[in-house]
Amino acid sequence: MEGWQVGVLFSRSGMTSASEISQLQGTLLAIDEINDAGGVRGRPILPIVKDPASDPAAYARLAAGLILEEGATNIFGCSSSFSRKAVLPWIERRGGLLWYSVVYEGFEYSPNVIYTGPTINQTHLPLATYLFRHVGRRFALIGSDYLFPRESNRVIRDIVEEAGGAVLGEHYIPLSAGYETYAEVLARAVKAGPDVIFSTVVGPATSHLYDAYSAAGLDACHMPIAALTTSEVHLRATRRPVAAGHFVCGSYFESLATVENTRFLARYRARFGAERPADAPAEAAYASVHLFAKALADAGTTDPERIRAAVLGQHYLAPQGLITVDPDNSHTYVRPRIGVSTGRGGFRIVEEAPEPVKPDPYLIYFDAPAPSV
Amino acid sequence: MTFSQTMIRELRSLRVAVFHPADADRDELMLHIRRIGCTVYADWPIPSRPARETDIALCLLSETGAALPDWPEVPLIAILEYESPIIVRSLLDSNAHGIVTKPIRAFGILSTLLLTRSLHRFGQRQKAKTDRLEETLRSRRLIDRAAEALAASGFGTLETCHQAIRRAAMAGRVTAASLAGDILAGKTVAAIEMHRKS
Repeated sequence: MEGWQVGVLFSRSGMTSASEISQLQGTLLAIDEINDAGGVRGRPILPIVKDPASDPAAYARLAAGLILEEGATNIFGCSSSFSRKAVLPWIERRGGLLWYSVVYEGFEYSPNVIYTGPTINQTHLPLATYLFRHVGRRFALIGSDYLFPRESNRVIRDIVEEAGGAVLGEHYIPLSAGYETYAEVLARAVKAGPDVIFSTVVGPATSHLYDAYSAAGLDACHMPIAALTTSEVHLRATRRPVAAGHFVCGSYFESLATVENTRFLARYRARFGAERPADAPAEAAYASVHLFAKALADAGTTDPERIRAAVLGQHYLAPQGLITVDPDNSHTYVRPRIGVSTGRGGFRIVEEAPEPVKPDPYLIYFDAPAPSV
Repeated sequence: MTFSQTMIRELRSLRVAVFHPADADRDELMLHIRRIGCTVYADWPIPSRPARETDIALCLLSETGAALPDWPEVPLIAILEYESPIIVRSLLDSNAHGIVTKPIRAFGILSTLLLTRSLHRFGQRQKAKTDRLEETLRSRRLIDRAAEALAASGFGTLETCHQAIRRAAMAGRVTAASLAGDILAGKTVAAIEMHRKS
């Protein structure tokens, strides 16, 4: 046998392409690195790349094809709940393993998924806590209209209300909406006078939200946007420059000053050009492949069950720092960080957890931030 | 917080019993129950009583169709291995409000736990309500019969007798039903007489 075949399932167009082009690049970079260093057990990893173009049905069909026809049982793919949920039944039935590398809304566990992105207690909770402490406690919620934002907002509402804050309106925007809709919804949300616009807007349309904000002449010092999925890529895709002062919670920002990140960025830029910044989806996808390679080296087979057993408890020193796959729930220990936009297309890290936080997708250890006085 | 929010939040404090032979399925089931935040313990064979403070029990419905335990206060989920008519019949005869099927799959367990708990709680409330209504009905019948007996003994009209029983019960700080019982047993006519004279 000449190599280890893996499936790569990311959209290069459509509403999830913003994160998935990053994930694709991170995935391919890691595979190149591993292969350049001699592969795994002397054999290269061979990616079979498919483009579902943001269509959930295509995700399901292509995932099934990867497993059945190509024999690629490990699939690096998806960046949204709708594509993950579309792929999941196929992966479970055909016995595949999905490597899912972006933030999601929690309350899920499948033995056929390795979740390498952060989940609610590593994003939603630290962001709400930070906002309570430093910004205010009246939230207006704006999200794209699908599962991730709705479930995220349920969690946020719980946290905010328990901690004595208030939710002043919950707004959803169809995934297909254009700039005008964002401007209208933002105006409605702002009217209620919140301290913060809490955004779960996803995809390339994220830029519309920030553009609408700039166009409305709003001031990030008084009513910032706080988001879970906004990345450096989104910031640089806006028509007007995004002002300083908007918040994002994630486990990776391009500005992270670690040795591993410096090396990662140099290779990422050398491979894909300096035009497109590296972001959290790129980094997590990159780290996922390295975790996979370590598990593969241990297991000596791509058999999903053996790979899964080998990756549980596995560590990797990623650009974001040490990450570990939690054997209890197949999610990953990461360090939550709060980034604030610099006004120059990037984020400055203003707060970070002292060490990696155990993933808690079912919010078992949930404690709301103390009510501010 | 709404009822459904509370239910989800309460997951963390649930104590779950799994009555199933020790095997990989039981391990998988227990792991997932723990994963979603509950405390869990296992036992087999099924004990005559669940451990104290068990909030919900999952119990294997064996292929012989042996009856599931009848613990009215504990919500019950049947673990199904077969779907043959014998099994389905004992499922229908049981107090189970939900099912989990084998081989165990994580997806659906959270919903089944919450739905079972919610249905059981609803059933308990309905039962408490029915019990109360039946009690009221029984008292009403007893009072009617006592009033009729008093009237027949020449105490007064039926209406007067009803009133007399109510007043005497209030004065004596007893329920009208228990006074009615005493009247029917021939004990308390004197008390009512006194009450009428005063």
